[in-house]
Amino acid sequence: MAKVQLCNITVMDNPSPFSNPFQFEITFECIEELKEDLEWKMIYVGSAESEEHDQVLDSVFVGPIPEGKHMFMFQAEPPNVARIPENDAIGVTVVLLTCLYKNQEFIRVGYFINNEYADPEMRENPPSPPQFDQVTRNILASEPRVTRFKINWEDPTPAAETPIITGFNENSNSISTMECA
Amino acid sequence: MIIVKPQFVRHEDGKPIFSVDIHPKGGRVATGGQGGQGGRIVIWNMNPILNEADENDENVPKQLCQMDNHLACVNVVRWSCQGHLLASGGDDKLVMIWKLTGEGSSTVFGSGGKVNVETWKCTQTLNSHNGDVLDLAWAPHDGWLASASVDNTVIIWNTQKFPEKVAVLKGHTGMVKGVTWDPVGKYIASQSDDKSLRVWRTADWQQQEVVTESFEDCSATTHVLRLSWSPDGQYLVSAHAMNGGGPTAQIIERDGWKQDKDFVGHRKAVTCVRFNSNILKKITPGSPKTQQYCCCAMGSRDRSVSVWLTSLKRPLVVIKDLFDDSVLDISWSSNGLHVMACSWDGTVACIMFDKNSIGITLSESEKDSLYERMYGKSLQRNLMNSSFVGSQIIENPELLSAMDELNDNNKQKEEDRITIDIPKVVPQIQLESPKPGNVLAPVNQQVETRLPSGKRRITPMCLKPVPSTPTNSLEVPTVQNNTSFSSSSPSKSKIVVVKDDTQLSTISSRATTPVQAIAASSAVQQVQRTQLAMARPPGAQITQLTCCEVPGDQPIIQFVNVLDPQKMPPGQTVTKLNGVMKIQITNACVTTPKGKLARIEMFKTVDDKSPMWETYLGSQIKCVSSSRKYVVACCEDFSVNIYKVNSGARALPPLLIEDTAAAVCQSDTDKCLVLTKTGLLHMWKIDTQTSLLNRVSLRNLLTNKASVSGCSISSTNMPIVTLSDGRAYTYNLDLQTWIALSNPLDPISRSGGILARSVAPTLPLASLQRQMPVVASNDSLPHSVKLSFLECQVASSIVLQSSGEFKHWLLATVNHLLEKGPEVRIRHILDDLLGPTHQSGRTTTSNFIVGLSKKTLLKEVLDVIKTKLPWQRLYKEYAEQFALTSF
Repeated sequence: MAKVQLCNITVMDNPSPFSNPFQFEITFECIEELKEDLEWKMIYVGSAESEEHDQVLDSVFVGPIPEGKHMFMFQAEPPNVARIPENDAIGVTVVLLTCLYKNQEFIRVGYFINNEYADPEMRENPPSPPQFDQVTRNILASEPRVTRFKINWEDPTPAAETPIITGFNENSNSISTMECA
Repeated sequence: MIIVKPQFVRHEDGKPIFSVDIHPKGGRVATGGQGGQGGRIVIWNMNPILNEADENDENVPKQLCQMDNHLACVNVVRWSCQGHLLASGGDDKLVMIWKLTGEGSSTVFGSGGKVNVETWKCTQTLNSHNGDVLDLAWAPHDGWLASASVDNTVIIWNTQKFPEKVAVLKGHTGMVKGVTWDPVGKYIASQSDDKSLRVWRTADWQQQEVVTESFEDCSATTHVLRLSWSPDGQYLVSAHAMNGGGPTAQIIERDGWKQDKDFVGHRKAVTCVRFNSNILKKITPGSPKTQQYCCCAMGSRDRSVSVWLTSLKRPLVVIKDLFDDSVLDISWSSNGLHVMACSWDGTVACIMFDKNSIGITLSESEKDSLYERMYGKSLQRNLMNSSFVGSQIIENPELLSAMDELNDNNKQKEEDRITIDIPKVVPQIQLESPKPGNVLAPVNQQVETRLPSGKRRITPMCLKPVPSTPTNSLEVPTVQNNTSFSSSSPSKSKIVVVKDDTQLSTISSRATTPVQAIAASSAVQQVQRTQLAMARPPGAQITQLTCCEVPGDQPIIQFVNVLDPQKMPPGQTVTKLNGVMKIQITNACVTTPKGKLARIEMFKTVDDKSPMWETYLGSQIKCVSSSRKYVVACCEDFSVNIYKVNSGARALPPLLIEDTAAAVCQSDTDKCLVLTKTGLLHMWKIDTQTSLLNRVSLRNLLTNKASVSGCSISSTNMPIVTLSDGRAYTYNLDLQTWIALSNPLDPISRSGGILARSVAPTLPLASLQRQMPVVASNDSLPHSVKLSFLECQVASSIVLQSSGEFKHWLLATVNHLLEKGPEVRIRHILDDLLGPTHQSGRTTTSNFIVGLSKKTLLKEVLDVIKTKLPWQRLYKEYAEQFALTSF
């Protein structure tokens, strides 16, 4: 079973202007101490048509993680507008928060986003090219879509295991010139 | 009789519900099945199911908790007999153990605003089955949990020490689809797709009986085969069996495993059978005799449920078309009046009987006397003891009182835990509420650092301090090793870095930082190190530099080897702090026509400009070490020079060794250890000017291209050498040989390495064994392999004189021996601790081992043995001897 359970995500600063950073306050619980860091990624789906337009807004390592409940703020800059297809700029899209352990994704949370012009006039007649400074981003915070994946939480098989060399004494340098007789 | 189909008990979109179980204390019912993307367990409030007024009252919560942790369909949920734990098994091959926590209500993230009124947390995940887990059963005394799986095995888990396994029952040649315990505790039975039902003994976990006759014509058409044992222990009733071409439930009598009766009537295969846990009685009017009988319910693929009394030839009731699809599980309430069944169609049904139709339940005392009549003794049914053996009889009064004590304690604990009842409005939880001291107190800071790759690393704020695990309680660490600080230290910390004093004190063994880099040819590495030092707060710097001596009268923690002998560029000054004092080494400070001089200067404090003393050497210094008493400098010309710290006077004339020194270290007293480049060790006792080790080679240790990564003197004044592949050795002066302390490459260590993690990593032996591989224990190995590992650990702890670890490993060995034997080894340990009973005149054997009193240890070992009933005779024997010797 997953060693990390997601307890809650609070969407901060929502709705907000398009150019504001994304801010998620993530609470998770860990049932035993993790040997490695978790990697969290925030992905902005630029276009529903293809993954090609997905933008990884940020990716952070979170650790060390002892047993217990933890909370952190995941903040990332808004997407690069140049990489968003014009047709998909306004309207509904998705931001994904995914978490990986040992490069394996075990949870993915999707939020719908509605990008809309604040001005009703512009809503009626959207300008081309889009004027992102007039756009308001509204994240549908109440309905996250959570997908869990089964991953291997344990250490890799002993065969693949390479012992990490940590000397007994950090300060004495390895006597590398010594040869095996 | 009332039949209810509560519409609110559903798992999303009518997904199948595979299992249902009513809490033994009533009030709750658990369902397991599919939901969301994986498996789902839901705990429901029983009141709205039984009572229409509650169902319509919005203030009465219906769903108490939803757990979506299983990644695939949940096939079975079972409450422990005491009701304090819930076990679940699923297609993800896992068994999970759930416990109520005092956290209160919370929303279910991502489920659209569903509220968990209670929080049930997974406390254990049992991951040993190689296939889907289809059925679970708690032993009557709750000490064992059995899980049946598609991998053809049944695993018996020790519920006191999850994830320890008591036994793996291998024998079935097909998926095991049902498992049930004999209420008397002597047997466990399982039914499988291999057309057999097997009965196993709990005394030795061997097969007692295999029943195949009634199953020969069965095809594997059912998802589960949940069989059940009658509460009086007389009958075992199978799921799907065939008789004369029709589906039946076979009755197997305990007496001789006779199979001449069956329950007939279902049109399709019987999937599940469940006995009412009560023994019932009915007073027939006009007759003085009361009739005692059992009652069982069964569900079938024909979508109907039938209820039978063993006193009647025909079913008490058959409810046809109760569901739209196969029945998958049945559960009785402990008052014996309610039955719940669940089905593939995603619904549950509840059937409520009255006392007239079912009968009057026997009281506990009546039940006990019935058992006593039938089986000759009273059952110790609530014995929460992992070594409980059904046929075990307590033989001496002392042990009996010990057992009672144990039971009382457990009972007390249970009572503390089990006082859960569901009030009408919002359930109040009285369970494990967080202690007032541990109130969530988030420090509103997260530590952010940047990794070399440029990525941010966030250390999240901890919301809830987890009570420290018992593994940490193993004595005070004597050697402190800094493990994490240096490697991942950022060069630029961007955001608020939370540091406190406790953090700093743990890095006391960090050593030298070159403070003055005079030479222009400073290596890049050196520059980086300087930056590192400057980035730290000034207060921390001194701690950073602590090497040999701690200010004040604290003992010296660890020697530190200052100069890198190979890489030290000529003409460079290196400063070293020796607790309160500072030593500065300048190689090639003066160039004379005949060669360069090296200088050692000693300053009284860190900031002093003029040295307390200085001395010159005619050769470049390769490495230096200093203790509270002596400074040892090894030079290029193979000389070892020893000075007194306080005066600079030579303690010994220059000693000449045969090669350049590669490492030098000192003990906290007066021992000095020098390792040469060619791998020879010298050790001197400076005070008495004697040699302890002379040219002892460690080359024979350097197999597999390993190199030496550290050398030091242990607290017992023995040299310790660690190699780059994680091996560690010590040299025993008396035996004049090397002793292996840690060998990650050794297959025995591999098999036991995971055990080594149970000890605080700062203890002497554990710190040497940090590189032990963590490999899940392999069951296929003989038990004695683990024993061999444990004994090595005990021996190594003695070598290092690490009392905390010695005790830990000794008790671990005893525990292992108590479970797996052989007895001679336990006796050996006990004899050893007991010492000779009759001391012959002058020979006095030590009453202490590794600084611990043997008597105290023996007492502790006996306390462990006391709790294991099968060893009561051994306990008695030694307890008596112990009592004698204590005078």
